[in-house]
Amino acid sequence: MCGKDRRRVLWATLGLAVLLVVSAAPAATALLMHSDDPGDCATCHGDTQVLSPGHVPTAGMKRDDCVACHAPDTPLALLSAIPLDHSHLLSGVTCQTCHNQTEAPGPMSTEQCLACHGPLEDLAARTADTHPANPHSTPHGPTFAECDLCHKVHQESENFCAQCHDFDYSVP
Amino acid sequence: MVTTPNVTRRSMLAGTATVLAGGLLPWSAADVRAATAALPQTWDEEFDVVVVGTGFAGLAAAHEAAKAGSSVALLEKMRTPGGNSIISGGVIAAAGSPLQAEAEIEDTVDSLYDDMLKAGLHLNHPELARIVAEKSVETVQWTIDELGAEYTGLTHMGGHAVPRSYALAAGSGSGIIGPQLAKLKEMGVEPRTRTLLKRLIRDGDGRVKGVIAHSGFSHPDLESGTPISIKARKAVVLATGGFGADPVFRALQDPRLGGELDTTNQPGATSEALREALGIGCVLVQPSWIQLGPWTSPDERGFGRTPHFAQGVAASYGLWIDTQTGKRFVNELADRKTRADAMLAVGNKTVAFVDSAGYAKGSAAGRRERFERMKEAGVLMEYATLEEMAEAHEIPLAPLKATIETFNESVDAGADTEFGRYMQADAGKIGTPPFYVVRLSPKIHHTMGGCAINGDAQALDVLSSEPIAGLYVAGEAAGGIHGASRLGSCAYTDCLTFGRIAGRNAAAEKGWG
Repeated sequence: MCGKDRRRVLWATLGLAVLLVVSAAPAATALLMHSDDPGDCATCHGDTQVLSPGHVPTAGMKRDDCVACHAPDTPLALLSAIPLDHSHLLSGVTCQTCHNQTEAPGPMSTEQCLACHGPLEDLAARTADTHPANPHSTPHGPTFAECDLCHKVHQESENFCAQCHDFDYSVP
Repeated sequence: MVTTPNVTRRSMLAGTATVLAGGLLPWSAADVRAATAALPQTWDEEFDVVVVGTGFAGLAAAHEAAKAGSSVALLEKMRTPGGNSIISGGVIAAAGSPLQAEAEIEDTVDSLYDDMLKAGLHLNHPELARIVAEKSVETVQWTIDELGAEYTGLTHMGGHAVPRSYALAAGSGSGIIGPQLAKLKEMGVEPRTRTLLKRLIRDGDGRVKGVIAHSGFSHPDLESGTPISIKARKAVVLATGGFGADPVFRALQDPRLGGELDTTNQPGATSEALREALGIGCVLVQPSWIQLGPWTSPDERGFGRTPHFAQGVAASYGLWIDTQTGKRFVNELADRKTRADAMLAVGNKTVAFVDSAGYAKGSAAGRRERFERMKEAGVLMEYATLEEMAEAHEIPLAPLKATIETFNESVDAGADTEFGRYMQADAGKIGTPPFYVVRLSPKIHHTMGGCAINGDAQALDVLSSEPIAGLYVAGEAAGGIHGASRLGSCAYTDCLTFGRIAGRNAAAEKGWG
């Protein structure tokens, strides 16, 4: 199985898990928000197996612990492998960190994302060597650099550029 | 909940047709009964002007309407504003401009108008084409003075008698759309993305009085989203673009151009808004004229980067070659239709190339990074010798050399004896290696047809040819301006000019209630 296929399988698995979370939104959200141990998959997923067979126990882990094995720019990279809400939570970014309040949380603005991840120019510099084009420095202007066009925190991310271009990005 | 007016409208249309067939003419413009619909009992929202579409025309209309004091709803069905405009090539035509004066290029409104009509095979509606030509300098100056758009200089687009197209520093339409959005934000108007125009509401008195939109629309599912009714006290401005990315509607107009043909357009360039306009009584004019852009490559999708090389460099400093004969086959600076037709006529196996001296001249205006990316992607190819280039593209070498020799003699003579191509002041002989080449293949680019309008951007009624009260159309959604084929860089001028006219006139309307 090539890396891409493996990612697809992972996505399918995790996507289902996310769907389950979303479909039981209030309870699951509460669980996510109140979980003191986001590394303990069973807190939300119960008996559903969300990790590959033989994976080391993750209870008590934070994102840095995950990255120790799932190093960036390797086939095991964490980004693209788990949903962004998971990686946020594992980094200590809870629902309230982004949404401030608990009832009917709305979509995030790009400004909110950039408050932690920005500025956009810095992001562009970090991806300057991406081929065949830098996704964070589009000639189409800032409206094509809205984070959530590609990066979906609570669902599978999307290669927005691929609507028109043959840009084969793996989008975190 | 608002009911959609489909059934009522179609039956009224049928009824009207029956009346006409029964010989009850004449009738007055106020008696327009085609395609009317019951008004919603209550409107969810209310604005003076509802602008549909956020390309150059829609944003210009919203700008002028808001500036005149009107409240504006600005609807965009896609997830990003800007339509085709924001991804377009970044050039705008102006005849008799300050930049031309600086470069000592003589030009007149009549010359631009003549070029537009020549390319358009004189099918252009003369009043509309003349407005574009007459207001071209004013429009470009508006983008500078009012929006703060930045340009790097002039470029020479195909079919124009002289270099007259201002090139945006941004290298694409984002150099105007961005400032337009910023100004609108200052005026309190922001695009409502993912909001589809579903229905134009035309009342029994003939006036368009609002729209049904779907908020939360997810392209291309036309049933997605939540219906909302928006009252337009003064007018609706339809600036919904063309149908270049709509194979079904394309094939209705030109059966050769359906299917999976590649297009330079964004995926939202579909026909549903135009179909809706026809449903309430607009006139569809010249829809079969669908333009192929001649400067695109089969080695990348869509518009890509190739036009910046094929048009911006090779058409002025290099040659376009039929690989089967090694010969030129067209004036590389002819209008788009002439070139695309010629490419297809010789079997669609053509390349555009330039030598290193020409490459250096054409690459000055910030194009280098684009070209480097094109090389990485294998779209732009570099060869150390002419022989290598000929072999790689299966071009017969001897005829190719003869073609270059003939062209070089033209450079010496100061006039292209073969095809009459405009000779740039800094044109040089071709011969210095390395050589740079792209493969060419035309792609669907612009749909000339659309709703008939008058010089005030008012939509005309299919039964009376009189203006439809409360409805303006601007940009690619309108037809007739460009006739059979639009000249490069004239869309910017057209869309911004008529967008502004539509916005001003919409704001000046007396509200209906």
